[in-house]
Amino acid sequence: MGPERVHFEAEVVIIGGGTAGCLAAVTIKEQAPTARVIIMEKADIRRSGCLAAGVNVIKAYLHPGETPESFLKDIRHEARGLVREDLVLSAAKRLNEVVEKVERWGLSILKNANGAYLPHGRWGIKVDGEKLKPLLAEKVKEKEVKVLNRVAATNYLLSKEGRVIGVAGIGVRDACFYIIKASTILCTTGGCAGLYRSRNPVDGHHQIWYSPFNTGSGYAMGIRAGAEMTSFEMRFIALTIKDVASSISILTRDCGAYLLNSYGQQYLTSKNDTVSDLPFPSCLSLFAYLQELKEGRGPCFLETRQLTDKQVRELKESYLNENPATVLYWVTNGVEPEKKPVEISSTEPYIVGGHGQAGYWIDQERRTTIGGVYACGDVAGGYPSKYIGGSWAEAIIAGETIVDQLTSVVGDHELMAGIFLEEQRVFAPLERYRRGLTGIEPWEMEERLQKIMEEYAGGISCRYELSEPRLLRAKEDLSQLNDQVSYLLAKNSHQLMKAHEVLDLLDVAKVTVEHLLYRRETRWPGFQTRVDYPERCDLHWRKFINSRRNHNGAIEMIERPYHQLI
Amino acid sequence: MLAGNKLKDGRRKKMGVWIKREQCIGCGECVQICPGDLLYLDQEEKVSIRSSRECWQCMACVKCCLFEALSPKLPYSSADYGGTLCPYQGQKKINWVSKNKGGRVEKYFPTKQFG
Repeated sequence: MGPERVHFEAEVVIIGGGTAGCLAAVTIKEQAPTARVIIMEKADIRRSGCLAAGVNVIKAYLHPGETPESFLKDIRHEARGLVREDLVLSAAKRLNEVVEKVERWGLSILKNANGAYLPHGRWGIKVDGEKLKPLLAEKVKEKEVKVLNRVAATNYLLSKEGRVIGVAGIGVRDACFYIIKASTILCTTGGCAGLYRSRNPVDGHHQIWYSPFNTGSGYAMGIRAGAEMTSFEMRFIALTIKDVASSISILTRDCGAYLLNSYGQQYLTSKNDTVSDLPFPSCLSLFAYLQELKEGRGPCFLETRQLTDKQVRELKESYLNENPATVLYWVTNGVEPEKKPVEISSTEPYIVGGHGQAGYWIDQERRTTIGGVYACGDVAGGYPSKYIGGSWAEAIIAGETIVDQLTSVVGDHELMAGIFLEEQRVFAPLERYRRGLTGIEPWEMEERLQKIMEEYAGGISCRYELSEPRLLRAKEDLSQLNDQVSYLLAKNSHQLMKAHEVLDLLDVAKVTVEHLLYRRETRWPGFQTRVDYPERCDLHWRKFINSRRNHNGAIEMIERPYHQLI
Repeated sequence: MLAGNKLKDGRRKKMGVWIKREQCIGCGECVQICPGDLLYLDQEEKVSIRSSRECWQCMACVKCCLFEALSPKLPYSSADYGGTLCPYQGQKKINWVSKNKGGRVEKYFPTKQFG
């Protein structure tokens, strides 16, 4: 007996109700109130995605004196000369509008005595964002968007011509098979954590910087549908407060904390070889930290002893709005930032389009290469350092494009063809368990995958370093792991979700390794250190590396030129 | 089934959250909110955590519990036993109170305006 099928139909389906997805949903309903819009969400949109815990800073905002052009120049510097300038510019023009819009909805933004937003670094503003997700969820509800919480998308359903006609998913709580018919789908599933072994052992497995529940499902669905993807070789690795993996940005930008090695030297400024007054790109900041460790001057710290008692209190309150575990960590371990520098460490590598630029290859209107599918936020590529403000700007752009091009829903007949195969694929791990067979549990396959990536594709233990022989070995082992997929076992609907998370990770891992192999230069030291090609080579490699999985399952690599607009 | 983990003060020791069973009324709000689908109501209609390794420490569950049945717990590999951090509901906002190993209490009001 097959699973119970649940059918829906809508003009627009948004996959993933994180910050980008919620904003897009509201934008579409504002401009097309009669359109049926569904958000398909693996968790509950009130606390899902990267901002589940809240947020204390929003980037980016163009403060007085800044322009989209000055913003682009800074992003280009951060991305080491390779960025989709059309995407950055089009979003930059909308950054302020969207922040002000969310403020009108009730987001509390901190202001100075003159009523101007309190800046956080050059491009940020400080917010009381603990309730940002509940606030967005409320707005979604007010606009009568239909929200399917606890439904995880598994694949796009495509017509014979390769255009999207719907999406399939599993009920995380009810184990039903969800089929949503729609000709327009916006993918906002976020990026990908979990490809590499966690820095923290066993119980701390998910004590990581990026949301561990973002497992690259949107990337994987795109890959399986033959979408063109870009820049998976630009991994992102954050420098964070050790053990709790929380952002250090508040400390460095608002508290004047600077980086120290174990000999009390400010290692970053002494090696600062950038010619401009622009800040150190995050990849080079990571690389400098790794060099300190390699040469025996670690561990490294943030100097915080200059903080006053009032500043420490504000610091803690700021962390309580975004990452309360930081305060608990300080309380339990007796850490007093005003008395002792705060130790930092680097995270596992992630694939994200909001800090790095890995994701769907999209056009300026945020269309992917699959007909009817749009993407924005962390899942969309080409525009790094987009963070929350950039994801919102993209959501508005995508939402407006979608409203302009709303198409009617196709007939049932065409849809049915793909459904049966997807149902078989999706429920196979549950079926295997029901038949009483033994097999592999999702967490076991996840550990195996993470071990391969850790050892051969530049994990923490090898200082993130990459080389061709090791990457080829990763490719071979991932291919062997792929043959094990039919043994996956799921005892219940939660495990079925976990099984599909690991299957998605596997598809993302294979593409990541191909990208890492292809770029034979080191463009982003730290994020992408090719020890066999240690130099950056603008002559040959200032271009985008894209990929597309063909009908035989082989990954084809595509080169796309870089266009400098300013 | 979790009896072996039950502490004298009624809390259950599991990574992610401390659960005070006698304070849980089984409303299921935390089960609804957990982004990792990690919480469920057991046979006694009390909240229980499914996995000891999948919690992200986002504290969505802790913050939504009106009965203070949940409090956050860091993995022992990175944090000492003894300190606590608990949210309490203010009007439309969440305040926090921490207690360190020595019993020193601090209160935080993070959602006030400053600057």
